[in-house]
Amino acid sequence: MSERTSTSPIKQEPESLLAVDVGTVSTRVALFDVVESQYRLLGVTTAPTTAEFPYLDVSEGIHHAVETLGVIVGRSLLDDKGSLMLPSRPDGNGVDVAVLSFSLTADVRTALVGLLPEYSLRSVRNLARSAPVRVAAEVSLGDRQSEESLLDVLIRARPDLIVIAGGTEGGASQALLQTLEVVGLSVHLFSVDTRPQILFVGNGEVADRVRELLKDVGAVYVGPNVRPSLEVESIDGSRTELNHRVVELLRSKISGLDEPLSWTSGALTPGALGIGTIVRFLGQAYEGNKGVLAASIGAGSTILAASFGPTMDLSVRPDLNLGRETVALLDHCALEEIVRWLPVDLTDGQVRDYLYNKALYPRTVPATVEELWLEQAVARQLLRVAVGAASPYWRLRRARPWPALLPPLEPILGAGSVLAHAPRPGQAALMLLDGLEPAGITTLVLDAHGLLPLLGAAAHVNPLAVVQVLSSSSFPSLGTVVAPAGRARQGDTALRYTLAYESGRQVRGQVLAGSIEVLPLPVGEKARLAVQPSRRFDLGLGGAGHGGTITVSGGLVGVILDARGRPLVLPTERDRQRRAQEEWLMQIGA
Amino acid sequence: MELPSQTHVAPLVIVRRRRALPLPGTITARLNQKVQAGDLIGRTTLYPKHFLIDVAHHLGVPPKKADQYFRYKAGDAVSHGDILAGPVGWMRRVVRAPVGGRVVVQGEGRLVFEAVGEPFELRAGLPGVVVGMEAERSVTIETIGALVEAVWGNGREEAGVLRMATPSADTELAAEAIDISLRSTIVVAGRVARPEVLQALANLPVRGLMAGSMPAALVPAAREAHFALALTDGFGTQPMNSAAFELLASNVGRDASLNAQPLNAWMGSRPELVIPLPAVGTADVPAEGVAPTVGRRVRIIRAPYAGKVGTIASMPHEQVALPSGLMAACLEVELTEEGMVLVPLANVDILE
Repeated sequence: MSERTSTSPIKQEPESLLAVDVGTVSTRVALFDVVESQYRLLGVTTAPTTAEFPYLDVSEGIHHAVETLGVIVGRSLLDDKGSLMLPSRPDGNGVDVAVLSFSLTADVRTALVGLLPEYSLRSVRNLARSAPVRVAAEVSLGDRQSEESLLDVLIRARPDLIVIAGGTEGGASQALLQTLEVVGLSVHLFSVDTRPQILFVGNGEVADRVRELLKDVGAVYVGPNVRPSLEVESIDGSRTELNHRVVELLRSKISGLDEPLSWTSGALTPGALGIGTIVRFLGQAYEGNKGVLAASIGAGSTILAASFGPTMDLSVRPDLNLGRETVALLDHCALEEIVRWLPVDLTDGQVRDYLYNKALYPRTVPATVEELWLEQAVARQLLRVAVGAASPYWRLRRARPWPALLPPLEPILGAGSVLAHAPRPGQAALMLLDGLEPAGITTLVLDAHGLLPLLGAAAHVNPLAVVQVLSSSSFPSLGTVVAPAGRARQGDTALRYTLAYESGRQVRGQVLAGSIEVLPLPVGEKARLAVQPSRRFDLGLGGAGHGGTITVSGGLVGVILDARGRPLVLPTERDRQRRAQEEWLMQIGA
Repeated sequence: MELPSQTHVAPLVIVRRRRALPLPGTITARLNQKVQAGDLIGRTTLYPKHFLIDVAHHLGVPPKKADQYFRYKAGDAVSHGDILAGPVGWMRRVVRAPVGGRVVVQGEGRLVFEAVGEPFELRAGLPGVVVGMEAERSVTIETIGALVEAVWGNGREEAGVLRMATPSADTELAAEAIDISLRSTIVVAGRVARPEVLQALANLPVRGLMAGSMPAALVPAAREAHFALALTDGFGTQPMNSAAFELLASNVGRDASLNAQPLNAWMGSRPELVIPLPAVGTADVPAEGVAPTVGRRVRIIRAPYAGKVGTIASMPHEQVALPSGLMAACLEVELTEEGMVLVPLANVDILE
């Protein structure tokens, strides 16, 4: 397996492009082609992923999805034998190029090994957060355990993968090599068919010795040092290597990828990395001092990718999902923290039962209104837990204007079925606002067709298609959000506004603290918004009480003036919580 | 067409199950051997403790020289106090085994010693015939009988006589209904709602409980229970699906094996109850990956009809707007009491 890198030569700009993403629950395929000189999404569809019993072969789901897509776009994509027609035929059937992304998450048990807890172990822990792995053990010399204890900890963890960090670049290596002896011994004690892979991301100068030391016990891979010096952490290079190792491990457990890999000359992009690629691109493309954030809530994991200029930080949380691990959310928050987002009166027991049933039946969809609110409440809390853990590690270009809140972002992309398939766009917008609590002025964009990982995979073979599709209607804006930081008494004026439409019409008004107001502005239209917050609120336009005039873009919801305050404080009584949620849903048109 | 999940509720099928040791060990069963549910078929040891012994240091010799004093080869079993290396010098220095165990690896003056770990015994789990074996790892057992698959289990497995404890699939099991006649049996109940019921069952004790549902708040108590507990339909207050309840009711008094193992979607293993039956006529291995077709029996797995069993009446081509506002591919399902209802395809489970 290999991934085409951005430095690989692109021989020609292929025209039609088929992108496949194998997800935990669904396999998604999309066809892009040039229409009127622009790349456009011609069609997208999903089929159930067939990785689990009784299929145990993802190619079934892929073929099913590709066949259905062919019907949707009116083009044969598979030949009589069921093989992808590659390149396209003169009659228009087939495709010119295919890309493959792999977002499926399964239990990849990982042991982390570092020398010092506050340096290499911390960095390797940060590295592990950027890939869909479950940390089964952490060991370091700082544990002051005997070598025997370290050995037993590693053996009991039964890892699929051991990630080892330690040593600054060019620094001392003796302690590291001693630790590696214990690691090698532990791997030796596993039966040959259960031996874990080893990824070394420590002092690069001893990489060859590490390979030599461990070559007899298993596969050893080397990535860039995550801690090149005591002051510097650098996980970007190793993040790619780790994600590839995870995909490789899953490939050994899952059959059916050989044929789709033959379509892509062996290229496969881990889904989370694909999302990260797009966010990094947007981070570089968007000017200004704000960052770009993508938040994806999936059946396999919750993924956050944030870019502030040249950097991109990726957080992949397989323990936070709307699938088989739904119950695990209760390991990170109290049940009441989910219940508080409900606009309906449900008991704690009903909410807990829902979480457990969702884990049993992850493919199911909410048929009743109550279950829809439940699913959306869980989505809010998943985002809050994920962003609360990830955002302190984001590498910002400048200090946060509001230390307790997210840094300024533009735009925020929301992905995942619970957002993309929300019956009303206002529901998706409110999930993002409640889950992320963005402050200041931003734009919410919806990945309506689940294209982010697909485009991430396509970015290396056809960047033009990616750029053009990203700016198309496939990523509809939900609207501009104006959400001042600060708090005031409920009912006090939070901000005054004047919205001047392109038609010349003007709308003036004020928004009261604790409420949301939506100003209609359709997709594709622009307007000038003059906004003046009260002295208790800060929009990021020069401090509390400072306003300004900005150009705002329309969206599926409109211009959202969220004057509930930041940090968002919810009522503590259950009845008042419920009424507040009801009101906010009404106010945002959900 | 999406393929819904599938649950086997079958009156007479061939049940073939792989029973595996968690770690490599010794398989004691033989091919074609007839086994009972409680028979021992393999054993291993779990999580042995390891000792890294610096033999050269203890003997006071250079590492390379120490190797000549090793008394055992890698893999050799030794008892507590046995001499692992030495003697050396006029003091006759030796290194002894700290506990019973085996030498794992040795060289360059060091030795790794593995203590005997916690014993683990693998039982057959269901009566049948051994039809396959994998050295040091697993045994495949085959039997013929009724099979009822469940969705959640507390991780235990037991065998016993099947008894019904509630008159219907939607009746809650009350503590007062638990009497001495249920002792050492596998109890079937529509649903369980109260912790005192689990306590009463534990006090008898029973061997197992197969219920339609229970509140998720009871999960900690269920995991602590010393009997096998499996849920056929999920968490909450939903009834046991009628297909399972009727099949279980028709087998009262028979021996049954309840394996309340956790659901593993990757491997396809799930909690289940097997009732061995004399083979009458022909039985087949249950079909997998069955497509939904008109007339096929389905179980609804999510509100508002969770736990209900019906038959597919039609399969609309277009997506349908649900009361939640979502658009979804749906099936028209005929239920006994509610009549014709539209259910998302994703929310049904094919009963086979």
